[in-house]
Amino acid sequence: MTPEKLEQELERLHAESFAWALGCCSRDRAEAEDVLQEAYLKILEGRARFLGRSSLKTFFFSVIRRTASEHRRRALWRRFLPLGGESDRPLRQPLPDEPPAADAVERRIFVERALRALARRQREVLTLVFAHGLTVEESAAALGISVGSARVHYQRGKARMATLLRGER
Amino acid sequence: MSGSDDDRIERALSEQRRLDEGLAPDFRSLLARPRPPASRGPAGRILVVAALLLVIGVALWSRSRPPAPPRSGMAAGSLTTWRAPTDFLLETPGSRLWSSPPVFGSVEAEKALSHPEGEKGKKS
Repeated sequence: MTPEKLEQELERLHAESFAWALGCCSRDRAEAEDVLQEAYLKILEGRARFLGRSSLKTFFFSVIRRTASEHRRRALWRRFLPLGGESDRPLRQPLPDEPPAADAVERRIFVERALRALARRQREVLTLVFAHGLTVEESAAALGISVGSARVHYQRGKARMATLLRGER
Repeated sequence: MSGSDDDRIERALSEQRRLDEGLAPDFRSLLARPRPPASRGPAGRILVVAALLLVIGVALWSRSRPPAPPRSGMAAGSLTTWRAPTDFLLETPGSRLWSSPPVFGSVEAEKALSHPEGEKGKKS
């Protein structure tokens, strides 16, 4: 795939990729932007190479997830060894202009709370399958886990999520 | 697990994804944005770990060293040469005899033993 074609494909997937990055960064928007930018640069500079073993979307989602993990580890290092490096952080873009409707906010908070109640792997598999339309096998590839393990996370996560969405405990 | 549960989950997560997608910044502006501050990278981490190891090494080395001799040479010197102000009271007549082991046949010893100073005074 040529660099131009690759960039076009990334642009096509951009909004969806951002949604996935947001999920990988505990819904921290600023961090999700950093992670997504770094993931793009990794691919465009050839530090992460797409070999065509899976779909580009699966591959790119796995790059985003790995980059988010690296960010988490770095944040952990910074917490214990405050070595600076944050002062020259660029200013963030403001939040969206129009706040969403109250019931939409409520609904969103409800879904977010339900997702947070799941184990991280369960949350990731369910998001990839139900929100991004990946198969369980593709989700396993994106998360770097075995298909069997992904299936277990999928089944358990789905049962728990269904209970939570029904409003039960 | 029923199909309606699947539908409910799919609806909830798809809706959330749609809302999240609305928050996405522009692709080009995100790419053109100045890079986030580079992490320390492997070199930085190695430096930090090396510094920690150095500190631990120095701490262990200083613990394993034998204790240094006390630095009170001057005080010890002055103590060995110190003399009590009343030392002269101990210098009694004939005390020289007791300061060293007697040597048989020496003139002084013979004199002292045969003519003790105290007896001389009594006779005369």
